[in-house]
Amino acid sequence: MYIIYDRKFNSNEWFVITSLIIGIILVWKLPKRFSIKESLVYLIYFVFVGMIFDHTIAIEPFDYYDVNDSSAYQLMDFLSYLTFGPFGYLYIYFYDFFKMKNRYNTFYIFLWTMSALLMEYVAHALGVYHYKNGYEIYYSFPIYLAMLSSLLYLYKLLNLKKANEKSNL
Amino acid sequence: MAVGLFVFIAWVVISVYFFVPIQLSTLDNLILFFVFTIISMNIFTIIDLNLNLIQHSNKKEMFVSFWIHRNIVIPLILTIFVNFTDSFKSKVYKLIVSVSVFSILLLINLLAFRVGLMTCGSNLYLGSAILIMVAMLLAFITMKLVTKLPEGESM
Repeated sequence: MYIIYDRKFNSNEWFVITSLIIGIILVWKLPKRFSIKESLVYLIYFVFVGMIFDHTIAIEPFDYYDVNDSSAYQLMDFLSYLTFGPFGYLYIYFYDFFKMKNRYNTFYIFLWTMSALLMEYVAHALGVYHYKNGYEIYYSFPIYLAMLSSLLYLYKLLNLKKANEKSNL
Repeated sequence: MAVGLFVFIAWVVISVYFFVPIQLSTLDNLILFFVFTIISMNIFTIIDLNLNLIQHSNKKEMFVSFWIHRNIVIPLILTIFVNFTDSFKSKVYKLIVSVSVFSILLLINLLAFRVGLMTCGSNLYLGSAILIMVAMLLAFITMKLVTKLPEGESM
């Protein structure tokens, strides 16, 4: 069913644009820790997984929520997915920066999952997400948990590959 | 039946990916696969939700097949395609690879329509051909951009 929530340039658009700009500035200005290609993998991965989940549960036959002003797919929807990129990058950046031990992984993933839920709560309050068909914000908890765990696993795999390549030299 | 068919196609494509000689690095392949999936998802969502040129099935079994087709089969075939085009120096070989990949993608897409994953109101063959050509062109341009990125330099 096609629904229009609003037609104005207001809080939801400003939230998406501000988050994206802050995210890009943070990624740009923080001291560099990864190669360009590795950084791109972490940046794109979160957009990729976020889109996979959104383009699965936000369309028929599930149709659990709409993003931004209407049920149709708009440029602002695409931009809102791009905000996931810096979030994923910063998650891996600080994991690498603090040289986290494996025993803290569960706590670290939980902390970032709660941050993601908080961001979603704010986004929902500002009109970025419109839940439908009985969807509640806490249903997103396992989704963020899966997204963040898989990103950490990818980081570990790439680091293992780098370590193997170094030892073979 | 449709799920079984598309799981089988995905399995064949994944097997091909792991058996053909991969020219690009792991990081390149990861970036390209992610970008191709994003492109595929966006193209399908735009032509489905916004343009109403196709309509994916609302049955859950069909949706699983549609999901496999959109998120695994198409991006992985495009990843294999760019690896092949990068490995061949001869333009004739590149053309042969492009035509072969185009034909395979077109056949799988037409099969998706045939088994009822999607329905199409307008010209099915022309629409599919244009869709695949756009996806292949975007894949090729993305590959050229990604392989030009400097190795090892930090961002």
